[in-house]
Amino acid sequence: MRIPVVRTLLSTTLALGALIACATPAPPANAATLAAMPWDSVLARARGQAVVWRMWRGDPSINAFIDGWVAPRVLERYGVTLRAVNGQGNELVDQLTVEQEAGAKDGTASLLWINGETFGALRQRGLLAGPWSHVLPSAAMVDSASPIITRDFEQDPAGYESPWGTVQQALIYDATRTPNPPRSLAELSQWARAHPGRFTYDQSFAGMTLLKGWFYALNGGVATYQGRFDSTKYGAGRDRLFAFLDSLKPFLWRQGTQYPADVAAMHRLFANGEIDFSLSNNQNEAVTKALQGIIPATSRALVLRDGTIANAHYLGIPFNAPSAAGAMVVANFLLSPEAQLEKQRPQVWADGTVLRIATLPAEWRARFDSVVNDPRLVPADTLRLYARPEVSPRYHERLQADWRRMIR
Amino acid sequence: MNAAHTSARARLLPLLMAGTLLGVPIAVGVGYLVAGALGVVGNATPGAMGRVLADGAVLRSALLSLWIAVVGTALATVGALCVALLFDGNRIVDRIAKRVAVLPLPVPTVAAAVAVLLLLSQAGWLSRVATRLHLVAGPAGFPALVYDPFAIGVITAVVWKEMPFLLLLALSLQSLRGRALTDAARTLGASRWQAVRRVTLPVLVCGMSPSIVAVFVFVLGSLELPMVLAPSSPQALPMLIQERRQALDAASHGEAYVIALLATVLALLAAVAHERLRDDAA
Repeated sequence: MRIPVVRTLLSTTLALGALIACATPAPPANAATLAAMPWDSVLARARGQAVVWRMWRGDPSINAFIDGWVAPRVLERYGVTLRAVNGQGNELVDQLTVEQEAGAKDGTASLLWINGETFGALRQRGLLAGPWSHVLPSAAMVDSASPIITRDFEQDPAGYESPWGTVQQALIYDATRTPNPPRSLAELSQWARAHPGRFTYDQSFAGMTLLKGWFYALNGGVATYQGRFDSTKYGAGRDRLFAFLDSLKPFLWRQGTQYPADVAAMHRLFANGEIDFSLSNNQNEAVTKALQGIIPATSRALVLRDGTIANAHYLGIPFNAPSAAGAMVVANFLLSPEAQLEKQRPQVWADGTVLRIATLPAEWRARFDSVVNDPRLVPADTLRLYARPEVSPRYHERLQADWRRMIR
Repeated sequence: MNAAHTSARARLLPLLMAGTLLGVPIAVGVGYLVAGALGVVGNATPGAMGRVLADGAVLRSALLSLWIAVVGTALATVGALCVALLFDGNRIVDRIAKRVAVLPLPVPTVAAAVAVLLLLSQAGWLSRVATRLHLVAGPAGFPALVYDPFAIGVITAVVWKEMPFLLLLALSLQSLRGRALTDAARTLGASRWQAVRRVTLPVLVCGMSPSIVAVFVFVLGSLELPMVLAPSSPQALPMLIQERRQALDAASHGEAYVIALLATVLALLAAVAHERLRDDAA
């Protein structure tokens, strides 16, 4: 017999807060309802709305792009006041679950930055409005041939989320220190043995994503794991990967007894000359972090021939969004070539575009090409060739838990 | 009679208020942890308690955190006492020493952690000096003092941050009671060493003991220093709680509550042990 006292308390508090916040009791239109209207009606309804956007606020350059570049433009052009606040992953699920239980008709946020398991959890609990993303005028320019964009960790976005950026993982090396870097997992393993203590990976999301790429590579490719999570397949694959990691362990930094906490720690060790490779979930960090002086100017991105994980990030609208129309207008603006290009500039964020560059007007094509073809980065076609999609989030979850238990 | 009654009531009200202000948040916090551990709040699954108690990683984390808190607090205490006793005078050098020793007091904990990292890491200042002097061949030749299994880096930062606080306390106790009692002992024929051992030290340690326990409890639960300096295996207890809380599977969330509860129990035990010792001493 459970007595959810705390939940009731929390819900009551939130409900009270929501009541107080409802100074303007206009019935908010749901995103699914708006999707049935002509776009001009959505624009008209958006004017004067305030959009609270819950997103990861951990990167100053992303914050500067949102607060300093996007917000003034959506205000000036569409009359939408955009305010980004902190919130990611499980927090979003918790927050909306409490609002749902409190029966809050009017939520606090109108836009969410989500992907993968967060999207799965929100969809499962009916916390996302939709479908709506297919009606955005800019959605026609999205690269719908890319499996990285059309499937979110094997899930069908189904119009409940709109893509707005892509990243692909890469190793980062210093061209002066390592003129001939390894190009495949087998070569990397030889390199590590020849240079003991000079390679490692971190224990955060990035490191586990690197291991997931190796997990595919050592077990016959990503196709093995597509479809539903299969614990038998997983177990066999994990054993093969962990045997490989065990053989590599003595040659890693600190003989594999310690692992850096996160990517920031990796960059620090790399810049200090304690290790020869850093790592990033976004290959463009080889340029952006060098621009910021965090890693050497001679840093280069490297993608192993065995493939690296690429994924997209998306925008969702909560079931109780007070300003769904404004949220749709912001999502549409973020898909415009102008915003996508600005976002991809290394001085800004260097986040990959979700647009199909080949189908854009010539002027935009030329501008994108000048950004994408940076000699310090992996060329776009090579990147596409070695991109591997995400599989069921359960694989990541299990791999992380088992790595912590058996390897660390 | 009536006056006494009034004064009792007058004393009771602030006590009640203070008790409410201090007690309610603690009760709610602990209650929430218990509810989380049982899976009543959050999305935790039941059975977390059993899993945590059988989990070797949790035990190792608890031992590491206790090690950091015990050694760090002990060294900070000894350091503070040494400075208070050695520079107990009015010479220029005494005044300078005391000023220098309390300098780290206003430094934010995170800044202290980063400073220790810059100083002690394998590519830090010390390592570079050692490389210049040809004592080591490169970063890997320098001993691992951060992210190391003995948490030397974390303990260094703890001592650097907590010693000034304890020293200020020792100095004020010295001027309040210690010096007078020591002088009395010397007049009665005790040697300098006897006076320090039998009079000064007990007075200082007794007066400092609540603060020593407070430092111990604070270090035990502090996240900033381990975040920057601690080893990845075993992890400090607060790091482990954080990691389980942010893990992808619901089972780990329940474990996070249970481990937080364990940490709370450890801190409470320290406070209870302290009270016991004080009672015995009295």
